[in-house]
Amino acid sequence: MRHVLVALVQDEPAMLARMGNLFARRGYNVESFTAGASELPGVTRITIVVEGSSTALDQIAKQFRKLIGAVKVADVTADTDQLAHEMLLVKVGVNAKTRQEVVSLADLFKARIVDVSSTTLMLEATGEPDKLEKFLEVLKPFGIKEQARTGAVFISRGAKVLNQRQLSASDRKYLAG
Amino acid sequence: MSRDAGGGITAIMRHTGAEVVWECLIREGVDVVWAYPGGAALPIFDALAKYPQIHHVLVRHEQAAAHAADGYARATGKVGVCVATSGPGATNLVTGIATAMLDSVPMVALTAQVADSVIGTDAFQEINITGITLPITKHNYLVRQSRDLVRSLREAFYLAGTGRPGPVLVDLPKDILTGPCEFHYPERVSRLGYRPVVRSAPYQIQRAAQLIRDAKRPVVLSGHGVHVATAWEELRRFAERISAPVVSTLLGLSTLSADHPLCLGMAGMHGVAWANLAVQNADLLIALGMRMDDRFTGSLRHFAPQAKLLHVDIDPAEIGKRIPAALPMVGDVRIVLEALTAELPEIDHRDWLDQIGTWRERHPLAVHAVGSLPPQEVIRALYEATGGEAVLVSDVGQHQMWVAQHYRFRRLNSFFTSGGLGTMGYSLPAALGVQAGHPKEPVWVVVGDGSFQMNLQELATVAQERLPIKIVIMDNGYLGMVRQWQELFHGARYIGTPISGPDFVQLAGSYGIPARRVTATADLAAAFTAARESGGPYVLDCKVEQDENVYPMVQPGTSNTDFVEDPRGRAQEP
Repeated sequence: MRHVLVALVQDEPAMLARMGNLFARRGYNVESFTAGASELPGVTRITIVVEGSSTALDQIAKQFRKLIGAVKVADVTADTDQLAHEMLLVKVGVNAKTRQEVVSLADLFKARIVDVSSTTLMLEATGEPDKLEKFLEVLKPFGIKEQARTGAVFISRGAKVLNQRQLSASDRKYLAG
Repeated sequence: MSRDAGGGITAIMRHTGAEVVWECLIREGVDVVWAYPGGAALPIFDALAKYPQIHHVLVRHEQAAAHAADGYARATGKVGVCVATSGPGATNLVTGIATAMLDSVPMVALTAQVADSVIGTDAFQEINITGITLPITKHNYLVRQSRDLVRSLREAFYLAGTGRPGPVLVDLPKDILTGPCEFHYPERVSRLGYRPVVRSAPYQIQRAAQLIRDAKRPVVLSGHGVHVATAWEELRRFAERISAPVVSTLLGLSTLSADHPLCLGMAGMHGVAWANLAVQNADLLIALGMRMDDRFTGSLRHFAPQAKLLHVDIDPAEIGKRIPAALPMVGDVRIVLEALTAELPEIDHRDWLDQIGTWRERHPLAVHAVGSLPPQEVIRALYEATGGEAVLVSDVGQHQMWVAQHYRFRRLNSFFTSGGLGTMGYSLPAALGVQAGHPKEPVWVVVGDGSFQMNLQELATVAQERLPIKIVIMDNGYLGMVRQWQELFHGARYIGTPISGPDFVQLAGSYGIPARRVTATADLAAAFTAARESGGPYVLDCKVEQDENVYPMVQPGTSNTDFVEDPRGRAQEP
């Protein structure tokens, strides 16, 4: 089963290696791994999409929490009320005849045209991974020259937040280095 | 177990980084380190001249420094410290660090590193030791700025010694060590997201008490966590309150005196039959600070089929890792046991204990008078010579299992061995540290001739430090445990297991250590008396029967009820 882990980790050297080690040791293939600044200074938000059984993922989440520098780790797979968005850049081969057709498909998928050459169009799309999947599907016949996906980031709707705990003054000072 | 900063606010003074390292260690209460110098580590050693309160032991190989720090930590509960230089010095620590990791031993390993300006250029004796030790440390640090030095060391000791203990490595570039460094030791230390849970919730305690009241055939499984939590008294009171038998893991030996009527000894692959039968027939297992290691459980499919599991551990990741727990209890074993005992009435399980007594009579441990010196007799003689009160370090292999079976640990926290990693060569160097923790009495080492030859260079350290370490070599000319597996599972093709060695008596003599060879059971008592009575180190080279196997044995993949007993039939209790 596909699982989504969301984690807040301290932004420090080797943190990436520590997390990578966790999955590699147990032979898990990570489908996507995204990292970026969170709302907390000095804290990175990580989203990991990985295939595995629930017991195996439970064990991984526990081992993940043990990493020094892991502030919060949650398996959000079961959260039905959340947004999962991903960005895609895709370079499609076009000619004078097909260019307009690709432009209208981009329109349908609310994708933006970000680069144009005589033989290619580069499109940027965001949204649910499934939607991007479908978009790529319809573009396929035109010839996909290159694609880059960010992997999805997840965040729940409403007032609920991942990190419920307020950071203390000393925590903030610590994170500020 | 949080460590006291010692002293109040220290005045800010100008030091070198190397001096600051020692200042920090002193604040952590360190008075002995095991170390080996080298180019990058020179500043650390140079600064030591200013700190005579630190006893520095020059080992003969860095692996020994790590094992010694490990032995010291196990014997005292304090964080053990080892120091090595960059490159090969650091990599030589690796086996010792991994040993400490697998057995949850608090250790701080300090490694020197090449200067920060050349890190990453494959400079002479440069190695990425934080990368190498990433999976075998609880955490590690590469100090890249002087202002991070004190915080890194403070955190290293804090992390090593709290929660589930473990080794922490701090890598120290040479220019950080030689450069100026401000020293102010913070009194408080915390890490965001690191808050070990030590106390179980009250409703958890009540649920646990209910499970225990409902049980007809409870068994307590006592692991290394009982030692770590210093919960020996709490374990005894708890077991007595509910009259539950106590089975231990290998590292859980000596958590309860072997003389105690509820103490059953070790279960598992080479566990005693009655302990395995008790576990397999239990309806409730109360697991305390143990992690259901595969050598303990045997085949999971067959493990304790009727038992519910109440699992207490300070590390939530150990609960449910191999066996689902009916009741998971995250917490410090001592605190949980205290709360639990207070919640429970006196419970009587006479029938259950009688049943176990019957198993004990039916399946006693075997000692057969084969050859002139059966190995089990050596362990029994050691028991006789020390009254079961020895501080004992064992290496890894057949002799380790015979110690676990035949030596009756009457003294609490008196047995030290490499359990999880099974590190051959552990015992002699670890004894250096155990001895530092028990300076007023001899430390006994039981070691095979194979294991001994893995780190026998430390005889020089023993002689140099004039330590009263008594080394009992179980010398059978084989890597015995592997030979046993070859006999049982590989058609008795003994490839790579016959092992020669030097004349150990002459070898010891060349280090100035008295030694004696024992070839017959009749000579054991006198030999052990001589070793015990000698003021300093002593080596006993016991030429034991070569082909002896460890029984009982649960074959891999089978149930712990299907233990194989000695095929020579009924045992002879001496």
